[in-house]
Amino acid sequence: MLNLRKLFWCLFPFALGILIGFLSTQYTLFTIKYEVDIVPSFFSVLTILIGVYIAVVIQKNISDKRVQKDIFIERLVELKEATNKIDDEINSSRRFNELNAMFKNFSSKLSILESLLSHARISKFNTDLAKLKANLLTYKRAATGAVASNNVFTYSPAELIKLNRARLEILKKIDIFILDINTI
Amino acid sequence: MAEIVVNIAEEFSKTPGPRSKAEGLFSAEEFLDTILVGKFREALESGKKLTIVLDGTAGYATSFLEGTFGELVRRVSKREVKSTIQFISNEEPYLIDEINQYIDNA
Repeated sequence: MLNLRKLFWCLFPFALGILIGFLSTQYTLFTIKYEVDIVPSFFSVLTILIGVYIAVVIQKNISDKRVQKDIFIERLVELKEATNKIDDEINSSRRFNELNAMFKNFSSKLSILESLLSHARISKFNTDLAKLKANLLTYKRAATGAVASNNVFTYSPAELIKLNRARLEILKKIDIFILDINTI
Repeated sequence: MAEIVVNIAEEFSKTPGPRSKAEGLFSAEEFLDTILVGKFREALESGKKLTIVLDGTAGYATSFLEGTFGELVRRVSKREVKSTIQFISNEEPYLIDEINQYIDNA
């Protein structure tokens, strides 16, 4: 059943073409020329080739870039989630090993993103990456450079303000990064 | 050049702690006193490189890294530390830049 349908749709355009050709020759309005004009034919072939080029090469590039963008954005969203998890820990238990592990996780994710960008040979985000790395270090220093006791970090009100500022700066940089990625 | 290797996760702890012994277990102070200074001297005397493997742990607090490598610079010299120690960190490559900053700023 499926094969018959496929066959029909393969043959139908040919049959339609033959019918249109036949009907057009029945009217004096249409005449068939038996010589070929080189210049218009050349432009027709050129137009077809450009059409094929756009369809095959450019469309593929656009689609590849979209896939790349989606992967980078997905990674950046993961970084935002990692930042929020760190913030949750800072605002609740402030456990020493958990916070260190969370920063390690964030740092690993960021280095994977850097590898992906370099693998895709996209260097225009080097500035965004460098800024994000610097912000990560500021945030990590503020969070894990504090005094610890009984496997828990303790923060003064001033340190908490610094931490919040560093977190917001990271979130802002990630959003800018996402916007920049959307421009490629 | 031959090298001496210190794997922190295997030889010290998978959960490195805070800066000082008073703050908690597996501190930078403890690491420095029990392992690093001895291995560093051994490397220095034998003219070997000291390779520190940072992988395999749950993560490092800034206080541990500064308390270890910054303190080592304060005890010996920046030049000796820079020429003797090299780091391996495949899981968290940015750690090496971070440690180098503590060494430079010590």
